Amino acid sequence: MLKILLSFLILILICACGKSREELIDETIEKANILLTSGNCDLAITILEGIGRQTKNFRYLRTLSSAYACKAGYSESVLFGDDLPNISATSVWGSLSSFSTSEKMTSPTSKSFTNLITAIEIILYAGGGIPSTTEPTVAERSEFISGSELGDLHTQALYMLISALGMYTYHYGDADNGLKAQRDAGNDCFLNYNEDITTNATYADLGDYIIAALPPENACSGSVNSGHPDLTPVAANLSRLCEGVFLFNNFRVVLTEVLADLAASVDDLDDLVAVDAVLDIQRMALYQAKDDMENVDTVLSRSVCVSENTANTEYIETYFLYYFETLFN
Amino acid sequence: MMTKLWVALFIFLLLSISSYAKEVHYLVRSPKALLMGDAYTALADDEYTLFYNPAILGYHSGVSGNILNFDFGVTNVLDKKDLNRFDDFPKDDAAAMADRILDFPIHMHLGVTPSFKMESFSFSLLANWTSNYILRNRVSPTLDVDFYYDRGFVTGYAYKFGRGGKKTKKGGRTTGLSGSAGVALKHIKREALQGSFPLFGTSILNAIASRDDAGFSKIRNELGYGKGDGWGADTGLQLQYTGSFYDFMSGLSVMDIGHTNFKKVYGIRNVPRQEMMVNWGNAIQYHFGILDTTFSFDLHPINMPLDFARKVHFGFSADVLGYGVYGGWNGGYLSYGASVNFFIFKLMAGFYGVELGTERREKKGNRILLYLSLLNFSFEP
Repeated sequence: MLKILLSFLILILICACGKSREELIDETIEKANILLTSGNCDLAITILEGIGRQTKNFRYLRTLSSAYACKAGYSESVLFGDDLPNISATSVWGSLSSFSTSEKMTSPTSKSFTNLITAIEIILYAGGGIPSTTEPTVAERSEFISGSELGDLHTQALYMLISALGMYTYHYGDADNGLKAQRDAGNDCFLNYNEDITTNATYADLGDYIIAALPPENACSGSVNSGHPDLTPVAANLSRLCEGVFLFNNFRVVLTEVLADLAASVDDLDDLVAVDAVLDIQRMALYQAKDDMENVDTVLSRSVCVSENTANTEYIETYFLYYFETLFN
Repeated sequence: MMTKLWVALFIFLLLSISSYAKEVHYLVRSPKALLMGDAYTALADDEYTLFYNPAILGYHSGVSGNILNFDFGVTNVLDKKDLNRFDDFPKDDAAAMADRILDFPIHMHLGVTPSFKMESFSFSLLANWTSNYILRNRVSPTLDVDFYYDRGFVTGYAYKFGRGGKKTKKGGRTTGLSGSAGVALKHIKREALQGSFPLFGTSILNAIASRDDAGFSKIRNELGYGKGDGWGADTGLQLQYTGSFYDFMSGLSVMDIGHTNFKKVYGIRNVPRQEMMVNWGNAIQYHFGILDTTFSFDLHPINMPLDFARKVHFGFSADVLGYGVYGGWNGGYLSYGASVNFFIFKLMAGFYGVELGTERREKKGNRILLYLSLLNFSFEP
């Protein structure tokens, strides 16, 4: 009797003890979160990448993304507590460029910036099967992840996009204390614009717009050929421009999603509602100024942006002038 | 053959070195067991027998009951390492508050388990409310929530065999080997919310922004709160050698055979099941007049993919005239406490640690427990 019982129990043990793939993933995520609590970014990345990208696992994506963000020196608490309250709809890039993490970008290849881009793309390409040459749309993501899980992923991406845009405008806007062209790069504008690019609006071309439409307090006003050295010439630096396009377009998409997800007004995000309104107005101005701006304005993938604009840079230049230049007084 | 089986079991245990990502969630724990490192599978002769090893019912005689008993547990806020966290605690700054409570495990527990035993039969009610919270990940703070509210009953019976441990007419006990096999059946209603939620994500922000009751319950439901009920079964085996002044005990139990699953009656997600746990315990008790001492050793839950060291439990107790002191080693952390027991009244208090990480001594949960039992009775023929 005892022997039979013991044999039976041992059989139960053997059958019950195999660690499933799911358990291994859960354990790795848990361990990575503990490592990220103590700031051990590299080891967290190593163990998470070690089990292979789990592109349909919401917790995995969230943790892997924050592990790369950790390497970027990014912190949601700092952004939420110290930086987000300073965001201003009247000076969108000015406020973002003065965020505490913005000055971490000292060159186009600064690790803080590149790791943050990686962290963002991990979330934007959530769902799996979305190649980098495909647009990471909300529809693609929601095929695999939905409801509050997708909402939480979008919020995480939104915060990182804001932080990355702060770095981008700080570096390429040569900003200091929220003002453009204040440091030693020597540029007044983001780009050396081709002033002959025509528009449909009041101003016949970009040259006219820069001279007459940009307010005098905008450093770029009247300065057609004063782009940032890292973005000059435009055609040779398209991938860097497309990083800006990628960040800004996805920021707008994700912001719209997050604001729609919120069941009620959240004080800390109220300023983002005002920013959203400002961006909508500027978008209308852009679409009135030039036809077919969708080539740039709706592009969500860096590689698609590059391929769409390699032959002709007039759209991306117009885009930069209307969004980055105009909104950075 | 028996020796070979035990050796095979031991080898299997050694080979099952792996890890489990969370605190192990038992249905109910005995406060005394927790103060003894939870090394209690072969010893559970108190009102918590049905939650450790139903076979031990075979060694119960007469009628006994615990009508009102409450166990209460919280995070050990007296721990000096954590006291500084709350000095000048920020009141309005959510981010600063998050920084302070990062990696600080919050535990709250309240349980009642009135039980009744008659010979080898037992019936126990249970109502257990447990909440665990911990904020992790310095980059994107994530709140891990583990909430359970279980209500139900457990009933069990055991059959004893062998000649050892029987009472003699002179008040002594017969020496020799004895054994017992037991089974238990339970019905549990469970309410639970389990998950990891980004602190600054829309789920939590919405929950905070929803101040009215209806709004909160809606968000709670969206987070995964659910209710369900289910039936479960346990079994156990106990072997005991009774000597002139000592008892050696060995017990093996399988709790929640094949897992206790809950049929969802409310909520959008499945109610977390009660995992099957296989427990093996050994103990030796010495009786020296008014002094009883016990040393115990357990391995549990041996069927779960857990770091082996987390399965190891050692316990010690000494009882003199109703006063007891306890100590133990609970999968890597010390436990200790004391009790006073006067017939209808029992009070117990102590400290214990549990593992909250994935491997031994990765993240300690430091806890205090308090137990009060009133209107206890026991009659023996």
